[in-house]
Formats: sequence, structure tokens, C-alpha cells
Amino acid sequence: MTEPDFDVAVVGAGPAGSMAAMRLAQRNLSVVLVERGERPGEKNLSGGVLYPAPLADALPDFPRDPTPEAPWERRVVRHVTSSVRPDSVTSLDYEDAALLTTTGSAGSTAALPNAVTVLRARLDPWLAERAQEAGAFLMPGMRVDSLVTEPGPDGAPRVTGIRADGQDLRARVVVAADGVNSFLARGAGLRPDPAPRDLAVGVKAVLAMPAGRLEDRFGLEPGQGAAHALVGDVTAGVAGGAFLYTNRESLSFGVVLRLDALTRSGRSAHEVFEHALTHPRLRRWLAGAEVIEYGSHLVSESGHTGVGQVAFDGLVVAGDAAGLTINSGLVLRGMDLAITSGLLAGDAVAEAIEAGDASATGLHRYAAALQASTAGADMRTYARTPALFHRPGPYGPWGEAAERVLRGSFRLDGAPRRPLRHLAVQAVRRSGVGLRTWVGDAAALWRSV
Amino acid sequence: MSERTPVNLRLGTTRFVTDSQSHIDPSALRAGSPAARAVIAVCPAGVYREVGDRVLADAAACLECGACLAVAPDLGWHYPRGGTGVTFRQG
Ligand SMILES: Cc1cc2nc3c(=O)[nH]c(=O)nc-3n(C[C@H](O)[C@H](O)[C@H](O)COP(=O)(O)OP(=O)(O)OC[C@H]3O[C@@H](n4cnc5c(N)ncnc54)[C@H](O)[C@@H]3O)c2cc1C
Ligand code: SF4
Repeated sequence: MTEPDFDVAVVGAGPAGSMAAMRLAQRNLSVVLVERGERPGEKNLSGGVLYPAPLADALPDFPRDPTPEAPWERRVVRHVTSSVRPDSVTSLDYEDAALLTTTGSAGSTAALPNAVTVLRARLDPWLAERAQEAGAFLMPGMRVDSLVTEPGPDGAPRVTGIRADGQDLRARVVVAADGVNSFLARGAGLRPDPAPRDLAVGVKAVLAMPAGRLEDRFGLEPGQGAAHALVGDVTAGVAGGAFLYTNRESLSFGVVLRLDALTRSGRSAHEVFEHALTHPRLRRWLAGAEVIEYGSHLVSESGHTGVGQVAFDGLVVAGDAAGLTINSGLVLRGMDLAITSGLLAGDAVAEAIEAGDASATGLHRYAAALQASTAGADMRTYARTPALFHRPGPYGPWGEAAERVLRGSFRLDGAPRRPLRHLAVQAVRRSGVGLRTWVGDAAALWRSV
Repeated sequence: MSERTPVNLRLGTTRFVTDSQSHIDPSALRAGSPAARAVIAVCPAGVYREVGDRVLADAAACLECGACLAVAPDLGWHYPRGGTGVTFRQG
């Protein structure tokens, strides 16, 4: 192999790529960080709840307070999970002063919030700057078209660089942190194409709202934030859900719709988004708020089974490109897993290069470190939740049954009261799905949480 | 696009840098086929429409999510050239 242009080429300046590039540069390797956006973050979108512990471990100067320079919006102190029906909302509303802080593995995270809301156009440039400060060379506005490969000793392709604008850039190792579509590894035949049932489309709007009104509407102290997860009629019954998060002076609102369910539903993604945005049960939060941006992005829904192989000859994949997302039903995570995997990839690639072995065997230490990490353990813990969300229960029958039971308990219509257990049995009977389905739902729920 | 449907109004708030080269080639899709119906259903930007037996794409409105390609692998679709396309100011 000719002398490489860089030790490592990292593709994608999202959380995974920027953290990998930072770690590699900290280990005195020459690193290029290639990003197709003119500025990191401008192609990226998320719901926006970041669990910052792994980031603050790596960057002790991660701002603890929402100062103007801080790359985040509000401390999340209230998590609300709601089943929305045309006429009713049933919620689990959890608020806890303990969420103001978390103690990460390093003692330095004492005053760190448990979770913060973020907007990617602010978070991602901040992360990429940390990589640049460490010495990584950022190349924005450049789309990588493919991996450069050579036949390896055993016939399997060996990645030797990246191709962009018809030019080859050679590197000892490539880190593919190119997000959920993961075209680079797929294009080289190294990772399979995901099935529509393992992907959901997120459709999101950011809506402007003055801080005072926002805090009043969501029942918050100044600077504090809320995260609402909503399911049911809000997506017109299409498998998926909606989210509503508070930023400093705006709301992040969107729907996440599984592609197989959406194509079967006879509805379009923008129709379902419109239905959610104008839903009468959401008016108390959204009324009068003006949309200032509309966007969309895919989410991986395959969980643990979607991760597969992450280290190849001359290549590792990190973040969404490696299928690292968790949807527990209560919590959606991807950014913190991207950060963890990026940091681990950086360390492992540096060690492999120092050891002079950038083969799949040398880079296997990354796969091992990922499995041994908290991120890896969490992926395994929630391995069965996708199976639960492939059942129809969460999107209709559960909410309907809850509504029947609660209506029967709270609505005194002059008829004699019936005990709760009778209401529950009746709700199950009238739900339109058989008892076997309910038992199956209960079993899937038990296994997955 | 001339009609002011809700999706067009929403897209009016998002910033785009239009590339002279289209990054979408829907010519392999036939109007009325399952693949055509699928791309129309999943696209949040309303990029696709059927005209006669053809499917047309308004690539300039694309939000670059990749949902269409995921449900219609025969579609010609790749990211627009570096520095062009959608530019989120919030994300
Ligand atoms: C609607 C929605 C809601 C979500 N909500 C949450 C949430 O609340 N909390 C949470 O933790 N996670 C959430 N996620 C998931 C989270 O956004 C992702 O897991 C996270 O962004 C993954 O980071 P990444 O660095 O792996 O990939 P990305 O952030 O996608 O970064 C990939 C980067 O690679 C660049 N790139 C791609 N291809 C190329 C190429 N060929 N050449 C050059 N550059 C390229 C892209 O422009 C991008 O900058 C949500 C996702 C969506 C869609
Ligand atoms: S990438 Fe997304 S926004 Fe663009 S055409 Fe496909 S589905 Fe529509």
C-alpha cells in the first residue's frame, strides 16, 4: 500500500464522528473529518433529549449551566408519557428533583443534568470544534461517494480510503460515522440494507415560543424542561409515536412513523404529521406557536439485532451507522450511544494503529469494547423491545382500554358504580382484540422491560 | 410547486441550497405501482407525484431523510453534492 494521506479518515461530523476524530487526534494521529454539510449539524435532526453523562466524562468542561455558549437548551426534570385518544389523554407524569443532576462514572459530573434538550444545529458544531481543537482536520461541504477497497489476503475487501469528487484519499483506517443510512458500509457490501420494518421516518417541526409562556404551559421553573412522549391517535394509529420537547425559546415537536406501517396505512407522512400538529388534545401546548423549521430524518428501530458486525479490515462503523439506537418505549436514545461508540472507536483504532494491525482482527478490540460498555449492555437489555412494538397493542387497544377503565371510575353518571376489576375485564372484552392478543402483549411487555 | 398545501407552507420555513444537478431519478418507478405508492406515502416533503404513468420528483424540496429509498430500492437516489441541499438552522 502507498503511504496514506492520513492515519484515519472519519466520515460524518455527527456526535459519533466528531468524538472519534477528537480521540484519535488526542492520540497524536493525523485525522481528517469529512462532512457533507457546509457546517456540521446542518444535515442533522433529532428529537432532542441528550443524556450527557458519557460526553461529560470525555469533556470535563461540558457546560453544566445553560449559558449562551452552552450547546444545549434546558435541563429535563419532567418526563410525561401519554396515550392520546380522540377525546382523552392518559399520562404517566414523572417529575423529580433528582433529575436535575446525575453522577456519572467520573466524579467530575457532580452537577451534571441527567438529561438536556438539544438542537443539532448548535450541538454538532460544538462537538466538531472539540475535534478540531484536538488537532483533527475538518473538511466540510464534501460528500464521500464510496469507500476505496482492495482485495485483502483472504479475498475479503480491505478498506484503504475514501473516494470523494473522483479523488481518492488514503487512510490506514476509515471510521464510518455516516449516520442511519450508512451508505458507505452498505455500498461496499459490508453491511446489509435495513428492512422497512426496522426503520421509522421522523418528521419534525421546531415551533417558536417565548420562554415565559413555554414555562407556564409546561409547568416548569425557569431553565427547566419537559419531555413528552405520545402514542395512539396522535399518529392516527400508525405504529410509532410523537414527541414534544422544550427548548429555550422553542418546542421540538414531531412524529416517528415505522415505514412498513406507514405504507400499509394508506396515509402519507405529512398527513400524519399535520394530524398530530393540529390534534385537539395537544392544543394546550401547541396553540399559537409558529413553525420555524420543518425537517425529517430516519430512525433505526431494529435495536440490538441491527448492530451486527462493526469492525472490518481497515474499517469500523460507529453511531447510527452501526444501528446503535434504543427505543425503550419511555426513552429514545441514539446521541449518547453515538458519543460512546465514537469515543471507543477512537481509542480502539488508535491502539490498532499503534500495534500495527488495522485488520478486522486488530480492530476487533472496538467490537469488544463496545459490547463491554454500558451502551452495549443497554442495547442487550432492550433487545426485545422491538418485538413488543411490532404488536398493535401500544398504538390503540391499550389506550382504549385505559380510557374505558378511567371513564368508568371518574364519570359518575348516576348508575351504580362497578368495581375496577369488572371495568378492566369489560375493557379487555370490548377492545376488539382477543384475549390471546392481550396475553401475548403482556408477555412481550414483561420480557422487554 | 404552486398550490399552498400545509406541507408547502411548512417547507417554506426550511432553508435549501439548490443544486443544479438533481439527486433523485424516479424513472424506474411506474405510476400506480406499489413502489410509487410507497414513496408518495413515506415522503414528508411531498417530493413525488404521478403524472400519467410516470413518477416525477421535485428534488429541490427534499429533506434528505432517505425514507423513499428504503421503501423503493429501485429508485435512483443519493445525497446531493457536498454543500448543497437542505440546511437545518435548528435541527
Ligand atoms: C426524529 C428523531 C428523534 C430522535 N430523538 C432522539 C432523542 O431524543 N435522543 C437521542 O439520544 N437520540 C435521538 N435520535 C437519534 C439520534 O439523532 C441519532 O442516534 C444520532 O444523531 C446518531 O449520531 P451519529 O453521529 O451516529 O449520526 P448523525 O448524527 O446522523 O451524523 C452523521 C453525519 O454524517 C454525515 N454524512 C453522512 N453521509 C456522508 C457522506 N457520504 N459524506 C460525508 N458526510 C456524510 C451527515 O451529514 C452527518 O453529519 C432521534 C432521531 C430522530 C430522527
Ligand atoms: S429523502 Fe426523504 S424528503 Fe427526500 S424525497 Fe426521499 S422521502 Fe422525500
